[in-house]
Amino acid sequence: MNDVAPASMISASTDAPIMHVPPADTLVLEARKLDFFYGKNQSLFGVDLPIERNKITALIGPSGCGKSTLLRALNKIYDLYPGQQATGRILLDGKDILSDRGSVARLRARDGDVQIDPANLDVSALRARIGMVFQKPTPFPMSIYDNVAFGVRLYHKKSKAEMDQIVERSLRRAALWDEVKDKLSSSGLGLSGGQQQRLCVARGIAVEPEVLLLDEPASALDPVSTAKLEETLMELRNDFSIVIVTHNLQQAARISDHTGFMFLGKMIEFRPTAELFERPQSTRTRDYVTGRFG
Amino acid sequence: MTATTMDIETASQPARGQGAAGEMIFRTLCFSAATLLMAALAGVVVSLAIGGWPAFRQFGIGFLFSSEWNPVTEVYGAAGPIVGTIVTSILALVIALPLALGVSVFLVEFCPRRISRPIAIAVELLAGIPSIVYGMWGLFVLAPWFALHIQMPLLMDLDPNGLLGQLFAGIPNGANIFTASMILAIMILPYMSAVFRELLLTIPSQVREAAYGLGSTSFEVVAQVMLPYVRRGTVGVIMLGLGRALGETMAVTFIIGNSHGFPHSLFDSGSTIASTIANEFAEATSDMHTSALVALGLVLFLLTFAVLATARALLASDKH
Repeated sequence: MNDVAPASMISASTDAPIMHVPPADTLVLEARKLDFFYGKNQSLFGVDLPIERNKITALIGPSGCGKSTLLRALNKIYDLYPGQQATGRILLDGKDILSDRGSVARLRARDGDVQIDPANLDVSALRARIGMVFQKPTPFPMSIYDNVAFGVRLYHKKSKAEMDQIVERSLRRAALWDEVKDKLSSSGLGLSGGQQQRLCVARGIAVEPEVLLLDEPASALDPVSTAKLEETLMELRNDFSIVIVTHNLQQAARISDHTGFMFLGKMIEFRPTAELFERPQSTRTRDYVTGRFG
Repeated sequence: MTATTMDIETASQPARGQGAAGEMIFRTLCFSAATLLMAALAGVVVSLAIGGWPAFRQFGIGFLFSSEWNPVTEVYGAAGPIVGTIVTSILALVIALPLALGVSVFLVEFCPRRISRPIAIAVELLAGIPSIVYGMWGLFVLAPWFALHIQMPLLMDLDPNGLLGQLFAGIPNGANIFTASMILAIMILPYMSAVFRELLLTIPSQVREAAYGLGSTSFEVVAQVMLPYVRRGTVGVIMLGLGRALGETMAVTFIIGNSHGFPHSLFDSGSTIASTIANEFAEATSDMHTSALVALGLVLFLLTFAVLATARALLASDKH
C-alpha cells in the first residue's frame, strides 16, 4: 500500500476512467464506485467493474495496483479479516451485496437451491455463488473426490450416484477427469501443481457458481499446465462468467473478452480486449501494454 | 583468470591455516557437547538397568504383571503403579484434549488479533507454574470440594452394587484417580494448546480462504478442512501431552491417595510409577525394595521415551 501516497501526484489519476460498459442486461456482477480500505490505508479508489455474463474479464496492471484486492472484495472474502472494509456498491444480478453486513440469517437450505434475499443476505451463501481460485493451488487434505464434492455437500444432500455424476462432470469440465479417474480416492495433495490447480477449478465449479474469480491462477504453473488451464477457462466460458487477474499480458489478450487496466488503485481503462491492446486510449495503458513500465 | 585465483588462494593460505585450527576446535567442542549428552543419557539407562536388575531377576516378567507390592514380605509387582500411570494419563488426555482444541481454535480463528496474543502468552505461562503448586491446590482446594460436592452425593444416591455405583465407589476424601487426572489435565492443557495453536498457524491462509470461498461456515472450515490439515500433528500433540502426564510426579503424589494395587473404581485411590518412587525412595531400607523402585524408574523411562519418540516422528511427518 506504499503506492497509495503518490496517487494524487499523478495526472492520469485525476482523469476520468475510460470505460466501455457492456449493456446493463448482460451484466452478472458489477462493482460501482468501490473504495477499499486495509485499516486506514485506502487501496481502491472509486473503481467501476462490469462483469458480462458468459465472458472472460481480465484484470491487468502492475503489482500492487489493486487487482487482487478488487477480486477479494467481489466475494467478500475480506470479511474474514477485521479492519478490511469496502464501500460503494457491488451488484450481483442487480442486487447490492455490499451494503449488507452479512451473517445475519442463515438462508442456506440444505436440500434446495441457494437463495439470496438481499434484505438479510448470508455471506456464506454469497460466496458459494461467486467461486474463487487462488494463486497457489489450495487442495484440501482429503481425496480428489471429496475435494470436488466438498462445496456441493455443504449445500445439497445428494445420493451417491448424483454426487458421482457431479464429481465426474466437474472434473471433465476442468479437463482433469482423464488424468485422475482411476485414483479418485487418493489424496488431492498428491497431484502435480497444474493438476491441483485444475482440481481447485473443478471444486469451484462443482457448486455451479455464477461467477468464477481467478487470482493469477497460472503464475505458479509451467507453460504446459498454463495452456491446459487456459483451454479449460475458454470452455468454461459457456457456463460461467469468469474474472481473471493476471500478470501475463499475452494470457489476457489470448483468453479474455474484456480487459480492465488498473493502476494505483484505480480503473484506468476498461474495454473489449482487442481494442484495449490494439488501440489503448490512455497513455498509461499504452505504456503498460507496450511494456514501457510495469 | 585462473592464475589470479591461484594467487589469492596461495596468499591467504596462512590465514586459512589458522582458521582451520580454530574450526577444528570449534567442531570438537560442539561434537563433545552433543556426545556428552548422549553419554549421560546412555549412563542413565544403563545404571537404571543395573540397579533394577535384582528385582527383574527375582520376579521375572511377573514384575510387570503382578499387583502385589509389599515391602514387608519383600514381594514387588509393579502392575498397580503401571496401570495407575496409564489410566491417569489417558483420563487427563480425554479431559484436556477437547479443551486444548477449543482454546487453540478460538485463538487462531475467532479471537480478535488484538487480544489473541496476550491470551496465547498467558496460556503458555500457565505451563511454567511449578507442579507442586498445582498439587497443593489440588489437595487443599480441589479434593475437599470434590469430595463434598461430587463424591458424597454420588455415594448417597447410587446403588452401590449397580454399574455406576461401582464405577464411582471409593472413600469420599477427594484423593483418587479421577481428581489426579483432573489436576494432570490442567497441567498439560497449556502445553497442548500452545503446540496445537502453532500447528493451526501453519495452515496457509489461502486454504482457509478457499474453504470459506466455497460457502463454508466457520465450523465447517475448522472441522472439515483445518483439523484434517493438521491431523497427524494432532496425534503428535496428544503424544506430547501423554508424555508429560506419564512422568508428572509431585502434583499426582499429593492427590492420588497413594495406595498400592489396582484401582477398583474411578474414585478409588491409587498410585503412579512416579508417585510410588517419590513416596518410598527415602524409606526403602532393603536392597530389593530399592532395586524394585529403580526398576520402576526404568519402566517409566522406557514408556515415556517410546511415547515421545512416536510424537516426534508424527510431528516431523506433518510438515507442509
